[in-house]
Amino acid sequence: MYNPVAFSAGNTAGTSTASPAPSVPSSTNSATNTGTGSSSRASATTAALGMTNSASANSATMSAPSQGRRRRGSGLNSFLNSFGIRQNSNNNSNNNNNSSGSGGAPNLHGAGNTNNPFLNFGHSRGNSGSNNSTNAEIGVSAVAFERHSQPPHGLSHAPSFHELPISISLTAQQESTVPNLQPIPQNNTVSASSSPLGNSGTLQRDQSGSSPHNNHHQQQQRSLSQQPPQPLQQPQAGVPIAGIDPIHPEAHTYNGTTSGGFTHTPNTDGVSPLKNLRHYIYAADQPNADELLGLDLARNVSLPESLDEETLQQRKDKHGLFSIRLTPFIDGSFSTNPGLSFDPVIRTAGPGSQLVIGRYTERVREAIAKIPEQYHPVVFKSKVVSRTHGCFKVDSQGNWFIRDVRSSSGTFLNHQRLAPASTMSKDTLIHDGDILQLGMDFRGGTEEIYRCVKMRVEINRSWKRRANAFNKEALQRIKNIQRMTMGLEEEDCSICLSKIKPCQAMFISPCSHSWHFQCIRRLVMTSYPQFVCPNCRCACDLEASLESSESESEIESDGGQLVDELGVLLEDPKDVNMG
Amino acid sequence: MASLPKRIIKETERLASDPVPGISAEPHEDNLRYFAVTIEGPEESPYENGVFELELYLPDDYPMEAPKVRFLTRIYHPNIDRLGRICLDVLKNNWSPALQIRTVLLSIQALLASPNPNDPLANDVAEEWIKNEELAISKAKEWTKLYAGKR
Repeated sequence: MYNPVAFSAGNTAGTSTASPAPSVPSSTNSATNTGTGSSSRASATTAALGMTNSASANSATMSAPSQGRRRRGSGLNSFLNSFGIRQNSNNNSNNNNNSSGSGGAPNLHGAGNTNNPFLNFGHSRGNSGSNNSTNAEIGVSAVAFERHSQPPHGLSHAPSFHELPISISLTAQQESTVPNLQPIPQNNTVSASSSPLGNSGTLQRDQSGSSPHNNHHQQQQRSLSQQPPQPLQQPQAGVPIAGIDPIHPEAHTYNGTTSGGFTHTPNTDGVSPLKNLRHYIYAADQPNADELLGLDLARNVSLPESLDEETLQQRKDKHGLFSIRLTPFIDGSFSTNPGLSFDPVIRTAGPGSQLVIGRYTERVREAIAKIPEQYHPVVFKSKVVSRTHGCFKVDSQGNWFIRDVRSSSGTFLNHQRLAPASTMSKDTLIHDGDILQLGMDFRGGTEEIYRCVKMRVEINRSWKRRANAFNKEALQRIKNIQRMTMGLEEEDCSICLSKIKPCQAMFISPCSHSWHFQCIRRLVMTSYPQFVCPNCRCACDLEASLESSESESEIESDGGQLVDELGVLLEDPKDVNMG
Repeated sequence: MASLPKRIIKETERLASDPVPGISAEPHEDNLRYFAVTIEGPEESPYENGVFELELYLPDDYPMEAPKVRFLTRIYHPNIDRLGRICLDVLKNNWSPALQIRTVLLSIQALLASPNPNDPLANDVAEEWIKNEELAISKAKEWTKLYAGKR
C-alpha cells in the first residue's frame, strides 16, 4: 500500500530533486545534490512516524553532472535490499531531521514537527552531522519506534497537542496535498485557494525579481494546500498575502519594489475543490480572523451588530476560545424515529476557525489521534452523514455559522433544508438552542447506522459550565449534611478517586455516601431498584416509598436537635466557603 | 496503547508516593495495567522473613471488575493453589469499585497472617492444616525459606 509522504524542500539556487517515496515504510530517502556553491535537500518522511530517523535514512550523494539521477546501488546493495536490509552510505552528511528522545522519538510539539501530514505547527529544522560509517541494518517497522518514544515510567501515553493552530484534512489523500517539487525554470508554483473550502487555483510568482522574499514560499516546510484555504486578493506592498499562509502570514509579504507579480491560474490538477475541505482551529489571538474565514452569507442576511468587550468576554472560555456544544435532540413525539444516539460533543475554537462536520472513518481516526478532543472535527458514525457533510465557522464576535458542503442527504436547521442535494449552501448563522439535523433516515432508520443525526446546538455557553456561587453553596450544603449524618467528611468519589466539584452530577445513597453519577451509574442500573453501597455494603431499595412513616416521626421527636441543626445548615449559608 | 483511566493513574501515583509498609507495586514499563508486586510475609506468621512476588493485572473494566492477582512465588497456604491463584472474597464476589490496589494487597497480606483452611483452594494443604496444624506451619516455614527467602 502506498504510504503517504510529506516532502520538504530546501531553499536552493541550483536544481532540486525530490526523491521517490520510500518502499520500506520506516525508511527515509534523502538526496543530496552537490553543485557549484549550492546545496539542495529534499527529504521524504513517513507519515507513520512523523519524523526522520537518522539510523534509517537512506542518503545518496550525487555530483553536479548527474543532475538528479539517482545512482542505483551496487550488486551487494541490491542483494541486501532483497532481504529487507538497507545499506546506508553516509559519506558526507547525515540529515537528522529533528529527531529527539530515545530511539529517534518524534518531536511532535511546537515548531519542530512538520513531517506529520496531519499536524501543521511550524517549520522543521534539520540538524546536519557528519558520519563516515556504512551501516547495514534490518528495516524496523513504525510500531517498533512507538515503544521507545514513550517515557519509561510515564503514566500518560497519549500525547496532547495544545499548540494552535491545528489544520487537518479528513478526506484528501495526503499525497494530493504535496506540492510539486520538480524543478521549474524561472518560477515556482505553489497551490493556493480561491475558495474558503478548498484548492481551486494556483498562484504563480515570477522569480526574476530581486526581492528578499522571492524564495520564502519555497522555504515553507508545509504544503500550502494543507493550510486553511483563503480567497485570493490583490496584494499590497508590505501586506501579508491572504491565501498563502494564514498561520504564519509574516512569512509571505508582498514587496512593492519587486518586479515579479502574482497571477492567478485555474486549477488543472483535476482535484475536486471539496477534496481539501480542511478542518482548522485557530488560537484566541488570531489576527484578521474574519478575513481568514471568508464568509459567504445570503444577500438578505446581515451580521449581528458587533458586541461590546464585556459581552464578548462572556462568550469566551478561560482560554479565550468560543465553544459549541451539540447534544442529541430528543423529540417528544413518538411519530418520529429517535436520531442517532451520541455523547454530547463540545468543541472549542478561536475566531476564524472552521470545524468540519462529517462521517467517522478510519482515516479520520488516524488524522485526529494526536489532537485533543476539544479540537476534533465533528464526526458521527452514521451512513447518512457524508464524509465531508458541512462545516461550522466562528467569527471574531463568537457568531457561529453552518454551511452544507454538497452533502447528498442534506443539512436541516430548524427543519429548513440549507441547500438541495449535492449543492453548496451559503453560510447560515446559528443561534443558541437551534435544532440541527444531518441527513435523513435511510431504510426507516431501523438500524442505528442509518439514522439521521438530530441535535440541539448550544453556543458559547462556557460560562454555564463554570461553577457560580449557587453551585458552590449547594455542594457545600450537601457536604455539611454528610458530615452531620456520618460524622466524617469524604472529599473524593471512591470510584474515580477525584473530588466531586460543583456542577457535576452526583448520586447520594440512603447511607449518605456520594459519588459522581457517571461513576456509580453502572452499579445503580445493574441491580436497580436494589442498591448495595460500594463503600459500606449497606443494601437499600431505591424505589422505597417517599411518604413519611412512623420511624420518621420518631426521628423528629427523638432527634429534633439533629434536624434543627440540618435546617440551620440548609437555610443559613454563612458558613459556606465561597472560594 | 489506549490512554489509561485517571483512576489507575491516581492509584499508581499514590502507591509510589505513599507506599504500604511491606508491600511494593510497580507498573510494567510496557503495560501500565500490569503490576509487579512484592509482599513481605507478615510477622509472627509462618511466612515471616519471606518476600513473595505476585503479578497484578487491572482489566479493561477496572474498577467495575476486580483486579486479577496471582502469586508467582510458590507458597504453602490453604487458600493459594500451586498455580498461585488466590481464594479471597474481595477478588471474587465481594469486590467493590470502592476498593483499590492497596486494599487488595493488604487483604492478601492479611490472608497470609490468617489462613482459612475451611474455605480452601488447595485441598491437600487444607487437609494437612486441619489434621496437623503444627506440621503444616513448619512446612510453610520451610517453603518460605526455600522459595521466598530474602536474596
